[in-house]
Amino acid sequence: MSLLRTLLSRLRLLPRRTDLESDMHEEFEFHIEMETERLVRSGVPEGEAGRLAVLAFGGVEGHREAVRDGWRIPIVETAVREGRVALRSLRRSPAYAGAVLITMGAAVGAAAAVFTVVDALLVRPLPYPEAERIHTLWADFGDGRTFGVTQPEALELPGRIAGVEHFGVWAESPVNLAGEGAPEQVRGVFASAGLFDVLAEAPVLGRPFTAEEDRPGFDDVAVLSHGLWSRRFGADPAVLGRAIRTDGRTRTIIGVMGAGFGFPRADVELWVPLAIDPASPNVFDRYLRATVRLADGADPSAVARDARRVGSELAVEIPDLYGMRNVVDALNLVPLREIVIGDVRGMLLVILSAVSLVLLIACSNVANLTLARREARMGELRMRATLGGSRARLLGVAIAEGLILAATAGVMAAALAWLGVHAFINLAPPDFPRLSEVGVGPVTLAAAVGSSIVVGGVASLLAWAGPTRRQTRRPLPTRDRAHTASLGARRVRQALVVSQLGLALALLAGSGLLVRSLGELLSVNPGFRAEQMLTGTVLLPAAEYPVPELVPEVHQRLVEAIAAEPGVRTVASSSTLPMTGGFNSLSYRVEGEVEDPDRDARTADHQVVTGDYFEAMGIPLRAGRGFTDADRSGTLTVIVSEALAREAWPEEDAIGRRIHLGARNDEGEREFHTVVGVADNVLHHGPTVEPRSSVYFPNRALPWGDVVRGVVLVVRAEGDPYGILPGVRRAIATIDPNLPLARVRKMDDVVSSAVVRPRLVAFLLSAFAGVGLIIASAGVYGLFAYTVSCRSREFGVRLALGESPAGLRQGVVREAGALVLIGCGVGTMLFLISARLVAGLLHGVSAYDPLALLTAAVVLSGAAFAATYRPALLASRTDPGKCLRVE
Amino acid sequence: MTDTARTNLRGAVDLLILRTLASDPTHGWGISQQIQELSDGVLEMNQGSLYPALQRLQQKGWIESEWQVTDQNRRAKVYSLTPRGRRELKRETERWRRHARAVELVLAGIPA
Repeated sequence: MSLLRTLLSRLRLLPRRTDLESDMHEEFEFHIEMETERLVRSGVPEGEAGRLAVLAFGGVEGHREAVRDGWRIPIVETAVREGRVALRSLRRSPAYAGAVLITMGAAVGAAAAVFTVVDALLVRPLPYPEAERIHTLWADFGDGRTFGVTQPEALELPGRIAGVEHFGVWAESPVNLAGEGAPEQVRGVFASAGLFDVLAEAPVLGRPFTAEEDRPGFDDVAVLSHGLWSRRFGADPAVLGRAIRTDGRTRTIIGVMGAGFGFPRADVELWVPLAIDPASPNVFDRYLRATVRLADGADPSAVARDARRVGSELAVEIPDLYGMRNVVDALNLVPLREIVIGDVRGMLLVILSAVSLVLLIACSNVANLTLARREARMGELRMRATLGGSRARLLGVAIAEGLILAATAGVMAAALAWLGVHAFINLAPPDFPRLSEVGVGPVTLAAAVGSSIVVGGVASLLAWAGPTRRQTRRPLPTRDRAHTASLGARRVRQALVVSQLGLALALLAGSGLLVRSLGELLSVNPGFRAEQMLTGTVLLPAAEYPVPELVPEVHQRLVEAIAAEPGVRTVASSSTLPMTGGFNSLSYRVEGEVEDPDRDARTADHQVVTGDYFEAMGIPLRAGRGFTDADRSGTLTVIVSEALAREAWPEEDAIGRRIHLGARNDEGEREFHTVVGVADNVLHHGPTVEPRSSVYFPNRALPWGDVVRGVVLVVRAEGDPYGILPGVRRAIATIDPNLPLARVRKMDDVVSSAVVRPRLVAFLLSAFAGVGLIIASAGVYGLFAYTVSCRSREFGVRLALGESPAGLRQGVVREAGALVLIGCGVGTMLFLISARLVAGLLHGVSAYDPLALLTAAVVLSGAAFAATYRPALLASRTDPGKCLRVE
Repeated sequence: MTDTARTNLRGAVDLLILRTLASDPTHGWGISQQIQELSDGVLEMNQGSLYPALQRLQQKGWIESEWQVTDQNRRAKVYSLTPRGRRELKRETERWRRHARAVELVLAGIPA
């Protein structure tokens, strides 16, 4: 298309205008010279020839213009011209431009940051190939709680469920690293060979482990994370084949994963073979996670059905696998994505809604500001219209202004968004899902630009639609500003202010609820006393402590050594720490109970603790006693939590009763544990989860023969917990100088990190609510300041006719009151509609709690009335004489 | 002058320029001279039409230009036909001839 070609070539000429001018000049000169020579050659004298040549050429300037016309692109010229006019006009109203830029910049920046995070976490698929085919298999005992799988299931299930292409099981564990650097403890995953097939992620160096290597005795291999490789091996490209000592065993490094890879989370740095021993009697500990990849085109519900079928087969093949239940719907399929982001989805949606509300408030504010400005310039606009400026031209300038402001605000917003996203990455807890995938990218830019355009566009539309047509056609008025505040425009502005108030109310109520919920969470009794307590993890690797029976002994000696240090009040060890949720569960059976196939199996979390655990943690014992040394050998004893006692023996005293926890003796008979104590409930999984049944084992091997090698030491100090840290390390060193103490934290910090997410949401919502409140108040102030100044003549007349200044002031306040009332009404309705979103995040407080709305309304009204203080005062101070004289 | 008339005239100018450049590339003055000579002095190129026309033809991609040094050691902007220009010349020539024939036929058919 020649038209397109022409346009393109003209565009290409744009930057070369000056060159083109001088070229043209030279070309014309050449032409005239040649003509002159020709004339000279034909006999005309030189001077005469020059004159004739110029004459023959014709009007040079005219030719020049003709050629220049060929360079011009009309649209660009107009745009540039309008743009210059708009820029000048904006510079004359710095207050307006500044207010719009700040409002839009802040709101759009916050929105773009939130959109970026939400996109990375909720919208984008997981970073594995065809990630929607990856599911997790949970054991479900019917009460909605989900559990991991056991070793027998891990060995039996692969290949038995139709529709599953790859099957992987894994368990997370801290791992001690030694050699080639300081000893450190990292987060590692023990995985079956199938896991890498499930994830379909190949290492960037080397290979994952094979099924042959996933067997005891052949499993001395390891795959590193990118971070571990860089940190500990200096990103050595020849790292494959080198040795790494994990838990005292020497393994060969066979692979390094790519930089973005982190399964199940970004902070996992090592993958080693799980190497389940098929002869192991551990039938009961549900410590494994099963992650599967469905075959291409497989229907998840069909696969889930088949999983259930296999589960019921296994229940028959392996007794006690699912506890009491005989009819089993035990295995559940859940998409991996749900597991990863399921907890944070509610929180992110609330934040997204809140930021959208802020965006709406900003939009309405900008519209209001633009409307006010346009009214202030009404005289100028009418003059332009009268002098022949078409409506299109006026609109053109308005659009140019809007675009310039939107573009500038967009740039500011992009910068703010960049800051916001980086703040989130740095402040979010390291175990936040998919954190490594969050970053500033094209989405951020698109969100910033898109939101700017939308806000600017909607605001301009609101401000410019309608009234212009009527008003610019009216004849030029006298200097009477009172008339320019037409009723229509005033109603629009009032509506905008009411909407701002309503949105701000919704935000305030929401943030109020979240803050109260946070307060409830923080005041929940965790069941133990967290103050002045230090925790740290210690792991006794099999290679260095090959005799399993001695491991509990070493733990005992560690605890005793630490207890001897000055400043230590009590110390104990436990296989897991409360409030961190890292508990494994097993099913149990009450002695003497009639087998009821319809009743769901009973499950309990389990822990191995040393004798002083309850005293060290400050957990009261309701009945019976704590563990003594006698419990560490001989008769099997346990202490149960109150929840378990009530569940198993609702009518009777639990002390002396016996339960079966998975052990069978050599004759295949069930072995029972005697309950010697009942402890108060402890919140194991965080402040929002009801306490579950739990079982405490004394410090000895587990009933099925395993020993717990990695324990958490809990030390109650006389004073500052960190003060005793050197002593604790010293004590550990006397037992084994090569044993690292890892993840040292105060128990207080552990507890508060359990509420990190509610705190984050409450903080963000409050920040948004605060911003919304400020903007809404500013909107109220702006509206009333303007209308008061417009109505000064009316006030003057009223004062002259005998009304009191106080009466004028009250009139203004009453008007403000009406707007606030309507605004609160709108806000309440808005909040009630959306309350369900917030409800999922609340703990201990209902989303429909009237107190929250009431408090928010009070705060909002207070701010709004404060904003009208000054305009009302000015109204009452109107000088009637001055006003009337203007006429 | 009406728009149609202007377009027609413009078309004629374009055609003449293209034809001139078909034989040899040359500069603006050279084009003007050749047209005058070849038409036995009947067609005098108005420079106000020539240079804008050269601009236009260049933007359409039918001719291209290059600054060269003449034998007299002067800098001149020399134009030449592009392959597309050559095709266009053939098309335009056909169109002009058909147009001229049609006019002739009409004139011949109307009694003097």
